[in-house]
Amino acid sequence: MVGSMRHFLRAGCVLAATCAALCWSGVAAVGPRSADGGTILVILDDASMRSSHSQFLSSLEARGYATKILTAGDASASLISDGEYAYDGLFLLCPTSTKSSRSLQPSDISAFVSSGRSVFVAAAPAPSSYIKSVAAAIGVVIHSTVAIDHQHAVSGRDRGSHTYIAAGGRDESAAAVWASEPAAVTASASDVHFVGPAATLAVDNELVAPVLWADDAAYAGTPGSRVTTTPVAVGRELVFAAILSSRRSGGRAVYWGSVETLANVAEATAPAGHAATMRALAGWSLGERGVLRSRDVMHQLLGRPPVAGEEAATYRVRDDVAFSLTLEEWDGPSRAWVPYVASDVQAELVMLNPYVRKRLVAADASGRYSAKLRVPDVIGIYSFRVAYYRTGLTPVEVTEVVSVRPFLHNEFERFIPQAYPYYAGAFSMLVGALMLTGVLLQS
Amino acid sequence: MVLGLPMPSTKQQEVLLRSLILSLICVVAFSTRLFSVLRYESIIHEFDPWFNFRATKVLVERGSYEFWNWFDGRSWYPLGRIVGGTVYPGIMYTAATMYHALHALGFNVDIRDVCVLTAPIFSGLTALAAYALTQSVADSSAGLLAAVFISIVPGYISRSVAGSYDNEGVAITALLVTFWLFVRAVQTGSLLASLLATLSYLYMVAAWGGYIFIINLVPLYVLVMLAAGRYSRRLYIAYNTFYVLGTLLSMQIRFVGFNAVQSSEHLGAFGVFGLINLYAAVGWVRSFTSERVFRAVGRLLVLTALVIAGVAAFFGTVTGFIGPWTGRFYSLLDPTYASKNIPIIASVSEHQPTAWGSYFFDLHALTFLTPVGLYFCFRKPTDENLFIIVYGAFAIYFSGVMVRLMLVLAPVAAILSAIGVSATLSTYMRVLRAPPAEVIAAIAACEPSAAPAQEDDSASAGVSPASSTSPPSGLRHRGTGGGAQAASSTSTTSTAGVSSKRSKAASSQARRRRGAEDSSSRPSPPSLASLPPVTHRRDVAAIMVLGTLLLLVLYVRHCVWVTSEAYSSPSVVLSARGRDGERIFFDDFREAYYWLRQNTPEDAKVMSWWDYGYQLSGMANRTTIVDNNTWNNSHIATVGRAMNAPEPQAYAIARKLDVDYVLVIFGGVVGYSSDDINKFLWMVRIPGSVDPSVHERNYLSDVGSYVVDSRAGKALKQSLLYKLCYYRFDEMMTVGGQEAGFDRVRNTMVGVKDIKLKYFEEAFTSENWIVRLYRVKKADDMGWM
Repeated sequence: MVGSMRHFLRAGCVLAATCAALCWSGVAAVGPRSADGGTILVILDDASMRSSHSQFLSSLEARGYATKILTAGDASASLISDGEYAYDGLFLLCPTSTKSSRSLQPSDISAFVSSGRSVFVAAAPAPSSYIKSVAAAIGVVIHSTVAIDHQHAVSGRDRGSHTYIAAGGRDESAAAVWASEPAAVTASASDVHFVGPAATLAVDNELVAPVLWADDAAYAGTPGSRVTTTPVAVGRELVFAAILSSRRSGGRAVYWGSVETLANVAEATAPAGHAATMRALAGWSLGERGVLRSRDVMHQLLGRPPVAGEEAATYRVRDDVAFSLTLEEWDGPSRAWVPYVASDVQAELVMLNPYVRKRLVAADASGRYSAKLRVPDVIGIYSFRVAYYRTGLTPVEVTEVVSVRPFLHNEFERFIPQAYPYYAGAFSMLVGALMLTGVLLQS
Repeated sequence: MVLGLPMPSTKQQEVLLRSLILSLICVVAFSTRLFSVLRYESIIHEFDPWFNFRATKVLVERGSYEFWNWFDGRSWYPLGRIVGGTVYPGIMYTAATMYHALHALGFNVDIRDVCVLTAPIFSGLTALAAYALTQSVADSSAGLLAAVFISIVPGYISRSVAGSYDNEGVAITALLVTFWLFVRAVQTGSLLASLLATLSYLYMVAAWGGYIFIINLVPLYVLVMLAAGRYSRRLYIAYNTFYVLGTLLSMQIRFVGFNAVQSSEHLGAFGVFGLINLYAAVGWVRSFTSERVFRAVGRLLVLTALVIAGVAAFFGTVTGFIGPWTGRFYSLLDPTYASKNIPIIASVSEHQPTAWGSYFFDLHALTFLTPVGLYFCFRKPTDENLFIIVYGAFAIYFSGVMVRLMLVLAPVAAILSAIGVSATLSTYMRVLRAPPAEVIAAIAACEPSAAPAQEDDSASAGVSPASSTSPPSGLRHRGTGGGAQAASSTSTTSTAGVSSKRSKAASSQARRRRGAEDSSSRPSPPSLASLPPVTHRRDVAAIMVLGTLLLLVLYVRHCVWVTSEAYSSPSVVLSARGRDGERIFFDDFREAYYWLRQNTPEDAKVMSWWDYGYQLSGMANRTTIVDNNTWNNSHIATVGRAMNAPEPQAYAIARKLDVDYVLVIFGGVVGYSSDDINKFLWMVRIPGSVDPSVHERNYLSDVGSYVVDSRAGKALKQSLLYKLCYYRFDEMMTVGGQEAGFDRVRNTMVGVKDIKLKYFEEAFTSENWIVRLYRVKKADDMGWM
């Protein structure tokens, strides 16, 4: 809780930080990454799932988390106890139960994620309205139809309705999502089995991203009935799994549309990649990989020692400025912040439009990035901006406001060669006037 | 004498009396401007004064160098504004000097009080300057009248009440001082007077952009003098000194800089400078050549000069060295120019053409007395009179073009009226004072002579202005120096005035010469028989004097009333009369600005229409996007676009500008008519001049009228401003007997009820709903809007 309070204070100070000495915004606090795992609350549809999904549940404990498993409607299911969050993660494996605890409303779950914690939501072909609203809170719209794929039905598991299908594609660029399971990195999308509702992404959420989707042949429909109208979604629009990484706190939410394929029996019949992918999703949701934070954001005039106060946030046009920051990633298994090194981080100097855009280069493995840039020859109020958005990574947003002022009256050169004719003119005029005065007085 | 002091001489008495009157005038000028402080409080008024106040604080707190280099990152976000280089610093330095002087003397006054009282203090100085100028032009009695007139003329008070801490407050003083000194320079040919005029001009340039008026009026006057064949060495010395030194000095003001030689507004002065030198050169050549040679040389000289001037002007314009004519200047020449071409200029209410009513409102009796003064000036055109005539004609024309320039007319109207009233009164008073027998004797003595009798003159002058019927052209002749005055042993026959005791030998000689020429060309006076009998003449005179006095009393009453009722409102605090006649104050502006100041982050950016920019940065101390320094049209257009666009587009613009809060002014609850809805069409026209996708037509009803009820244009109903103004208005009962949501300004029912906002949320609404503040929502931590 202290951490989250600090976060809120920090967030309020991000803009004001320009006035702070040395222009630190310090550590952009990210979530309560505790050194010793944490506790996960798991909500199941009914008690029988304890055994039917035991492998998946035990994999959570294998990762070093304590789990508390309750069934839906249990009055004791509360995220908060004694005014603080009692859990670090919430796994909702209860797609069909209509009853839910009073403290697990969608808004509570949003707040839970915003505080830097994790939510994993699993759906089923006909989910309850409760699960639909929870999914909606993390940017996934569940439709009343199911995903059907006549070409990629899993033989043996599918019962003829072609709803038990293999996934068509996954986001390979979201490496952090798969990285927590070595087997998942090499797995392919077709290894993943799915039976669940047709789901699409909400249009007005800018953070949710799909990571697993259907094949181009899939469509949203009702098994056994003819398709008479255009399906709400076809092909890749049908989202199987979606992830959301909250903006500042590092909180995470994962949607997985098929609770059935998390079961022991489903994992046993599917290729090995399926179970690994499911473990990777769970691991990602618990923040094991890809949680980033920035720290020690600094900018200073090249060749000038850092100064404090208003001076520090003011540059002159055409100044050469060094901008630097450190990026760190939370390493789940070792429970420590380690340097994050990448080659695609950029810094911009923005006034309405980006005037300068420079690649931030990490000189060594310390995760310290820096760039030298020249302030443009246009006065104004600029922002140093780093907007590092990558699927599967916590967004890194850094904004440092600086004023760019014109030359002061005493910063211009005192004598310039072009002006020598004028100097000569002025002095010859003086001499001439003196001589003329003398001549007139004499005569 | 009671105390044993020697009885002062008549002259000393007069000086004493005059000083006493002048100091009383200063007191009146100062105290009549304190209505605003008494009625409201010691507060900075309106819009521009808030910026001046803020700049003065910077100057006082951080010093001159910091002020000079001041780059203001808190206005025009994110462009910023180089204040030091875009400001007329005169008033700030004036207030800062007074502040430091008072502190050095041990008076620990607040800088705000110094600023509030700057304009009233300078209005006293203005009265003195008006006295000096009028005394130079006419005589000291006219000067006293001019000082009285100008001290309370509403056209000037409107810009100089306590709290109206604006450039004009000190600039009018500088204007009159400059004119006075220049007239003195022309009168005497004194280099010193011309130099002092130049220094005063420097102060004027530092204080107000209206210095353009001086730098065009003075050359125009010189041109008129040349055309009238009144060229003299005195004029040559006065103008050349003034132009050369004045231009050099005005270039020292950073905001003017090279404009003083490059911009076309200053070209006229340069042209006249060339012309007068050419004129002098021609005269010089003529002095030692024969007529034939002179013609040839003269033609060559003139042609060469014209060609050089033409080529220089052409290349200067083509290469852009000479600045383009600014829109404000065009709109002076063609009042419809700005409204056709530059909406940002037309949108300012003080740039509108003047309505007839405002002449009477702002000048009252002076409206009628000014022609009288012009008449008297024309009767005896001297160099000084010509100046006042040119100034008067110039000012009357321009005051008709722009309401704001009424301010420039007011002083000259006061001076001309004073000349008229003084001449009228003095003639009639002389009739009243003289015993009947002496009058007859004087008339009898004068009748056969060629010199006109002063009674004739008085009759003619008296009839013409007051009744303003049939100006007796047959009786028009110079006359103040006539018989009676000659009898009272005043030897001068100069035109300079009734009680003039001046003994400036050189100038009065010149004037005497001119006066003699004038009088010699006049028609001879009519015979005495055609005039009314002497007793009736005294009655007429008495009636005229009383009538004039009544007019002056009415003038004073009007001025005081206007000052107290119309021009003392700070417009930051509004007041209205309640049902029982009691005053109700609406302090919504400060309520909202202080809310912003206390409840928002230090660096919050507030978007509002530009009118409120200065107040926002002055009172709320928050960053503004645009303000009253309308230097960047497209930035204002961007804000206007945000206001007139549908919510999602407006939101995109607001995010682009990093806006945190949006402020709108809404008068529908209390009937405050200068609110944003009434200004809205400018928020369409100004963006429309930049962005061709904005069409005013879409914001109007089907029949092309601007209404806000259910017939309102579709774009208007969707616009952000409409939504922000009328948000939740349908819950508000405003007028008894009407449904909730009745707009008291437009007297209509609001057109859209149940307005929903998606990207903005209400943050604060002031007590009377005049100021409404909305927070711009940011996407939350989870990425939701």
